Amino acid sequence: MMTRPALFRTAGWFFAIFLLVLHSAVTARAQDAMSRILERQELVVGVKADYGPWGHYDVGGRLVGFEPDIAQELAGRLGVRLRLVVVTSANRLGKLEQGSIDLMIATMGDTVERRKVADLLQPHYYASAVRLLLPKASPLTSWSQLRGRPVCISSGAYFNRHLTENLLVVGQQYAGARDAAQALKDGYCVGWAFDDTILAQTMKQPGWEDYRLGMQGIQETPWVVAVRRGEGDAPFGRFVSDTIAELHRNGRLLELQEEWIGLPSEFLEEKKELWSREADGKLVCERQADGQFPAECLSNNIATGGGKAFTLPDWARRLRAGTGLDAGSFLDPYNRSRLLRGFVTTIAISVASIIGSLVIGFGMALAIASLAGGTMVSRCVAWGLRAIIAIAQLTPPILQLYILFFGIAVVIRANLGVSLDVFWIAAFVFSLYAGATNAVLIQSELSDLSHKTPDARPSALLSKAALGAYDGLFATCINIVKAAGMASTIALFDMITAVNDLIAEGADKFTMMNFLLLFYLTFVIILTSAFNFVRKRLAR
Amino acid sequence: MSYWETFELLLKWSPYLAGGFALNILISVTSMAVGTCWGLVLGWARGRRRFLVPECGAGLTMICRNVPSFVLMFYLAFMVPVEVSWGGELYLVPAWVKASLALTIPVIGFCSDQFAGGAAAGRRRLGRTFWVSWVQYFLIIVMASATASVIGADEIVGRINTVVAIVNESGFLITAYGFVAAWFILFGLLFKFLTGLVGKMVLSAGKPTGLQAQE
Repeated sequence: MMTRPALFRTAGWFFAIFLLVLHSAVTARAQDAMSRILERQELVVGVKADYGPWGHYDVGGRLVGFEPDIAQELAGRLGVRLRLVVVTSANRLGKLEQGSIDLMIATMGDTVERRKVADLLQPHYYASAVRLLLPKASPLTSWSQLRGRPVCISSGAYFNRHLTENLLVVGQQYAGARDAAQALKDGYCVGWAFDDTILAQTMKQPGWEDYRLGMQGIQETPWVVAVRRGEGDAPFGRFVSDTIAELHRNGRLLELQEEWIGLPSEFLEEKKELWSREADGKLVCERQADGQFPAECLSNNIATGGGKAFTLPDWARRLRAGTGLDAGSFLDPYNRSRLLRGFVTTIAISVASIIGSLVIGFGMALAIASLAGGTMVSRCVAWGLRAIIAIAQLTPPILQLYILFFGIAVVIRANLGVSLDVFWIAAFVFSLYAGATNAVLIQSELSDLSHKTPDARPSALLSKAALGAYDGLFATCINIVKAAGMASTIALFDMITAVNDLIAEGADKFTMMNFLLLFYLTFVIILTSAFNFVRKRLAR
Repeated sequence: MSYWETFELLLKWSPYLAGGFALNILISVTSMAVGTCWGLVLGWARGRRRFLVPECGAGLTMICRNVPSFVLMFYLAFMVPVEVSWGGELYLVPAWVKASLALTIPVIGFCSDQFAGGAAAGRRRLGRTFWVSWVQYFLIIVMASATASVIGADEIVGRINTVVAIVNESGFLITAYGFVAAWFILFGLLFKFLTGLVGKMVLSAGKPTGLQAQE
């Protein structure tokens, strides 16, 4: 056997080597996008599926809308097939960076921060501002009244930082527009802050009669298509830019707007005029000798994500230049506070789930053991408990989270007026999932023990059973800590949410992903050591 | 929407969902198969007396055992390119392959621990406990495969989200998730029943021991 410190050292070395290998694998990139698209005869475009007329499923299950039609125009001109991939605000930049899509046309606003993450191509093809959808009965009328109140937002929206940092709202963050809309209806927040365009569309749908579009539009921003970094000035990026310019000129974008959205768009009218403007019989907005569009055709008057400016200190810049590691996320106070919040939440949800799973495990095992061999009624109750255990064990926890969050919690609120916090919903699901396994383990020990000493009451044997099942219980607890990250899918702001957000906003994915992995590795190893320590104490 | 309409709608989409569920099973079987092989190799290595061999086995096992698969999925989604060009050809790395890879890692840790623990306890005990906990572990991996949709794998949870987006009716969401949960529960019960039969036929059944499944 190895000594413990030696084991840690070896594990550390392996991890370091693993990272090096991955790093070299990631930095080796394939050839440029245009030649790859032509080689595979397919253009892959990321679009939205939860964004009304801009991108949604039709009744036949096909992705259609304003943005898919723009994608079709591009594929048609290239003479290749079009494949649409569904993206969300939270994952669209990630998918682009990963190479899952060649091009993103997904309702994304042009911001200073995003220009660092991907190549955003002008001209812009749409524009929107941020407003709030809220119940008609709500007395709230201005952004400043939202201070300290829960507001539903979706992950990855550029204005989230402005809302939370400058307007001091408490952002309840959801994975996509569908979830945020559902959460507003379910009463998890006072309003849903989002693009005015989509909110206006949502209001027209059945079921939204009791809601109104409130607050003044803020953070007006043009929408932009994006390609991977480095592709903007390459053949593919130029082709996309030129095509969008052409779609402005020939009025195709206005046609599509008329067809899909139906509201007049001043923005598109202006752009059409600008891009078809002529001087001396020549188009003003054409590529110059240097291959660029004239400055007056481009708009660089764009929003930043808001918040206080942050500049990287010298040592961090040198570190980034030398190793590729970007410490920016840990130094920027706003980002650091988000990481810290994620850290605390992750620890808290883990501890709550461990305690909950042990309570449920012991409780159920004891109940089943006490009820066994009793009257008809008590046998039925024991059978019911067994059924609950089987269902809890055989339903994927991620589905349990969805069902409880979007279903049962809503019914409870509607009938009892009690609103359940997402943290406690997640803690309950994990406690039940792991508690079911714990119950099986303890119960099996209990039945063994009661065979040996038939006269003893089950409760008297409990501590002995706990010792017997210690290894198993310990394994389940570790297991649930590892699974707790799933709560990020129902808007729990844990470590995974924090890291994914930072990457979506432009943090270096290599640094952040390894940080996340290392964090969990350390956390689980510390927990394991704690459990081993307790076992040694108990054995004595 | 009436109960009957909801049920009809779910029935109509069932073949599509079945295709997604097949991917869940494919992901789980792939991870179990690959993970078991590597896990046994690592477990075996931990018992050797050669220079650095047991250290390698233990070090790798430690990493595999302690990294959550849910985090690994994101990790691989970001770190492994979607297309790799090799020998002038373009190869796609689909999301389900990444999900399988992410779920393989905990299987390796689990099998390595089972083998090392079982080998210490003697050969006969190894076979029996290994079968019982391996079967349990397979079910845990099937449950974990439901998270593959978060990185874009086209499995059943991803597909039910698509169906919910297409149907776009409030109230349908919860029934739809319940319906998918029923698929997992039925599969689990059937699987437990069948493996129970096999276990009884092939091995004399053993009760679950301290070496519990850990994902």
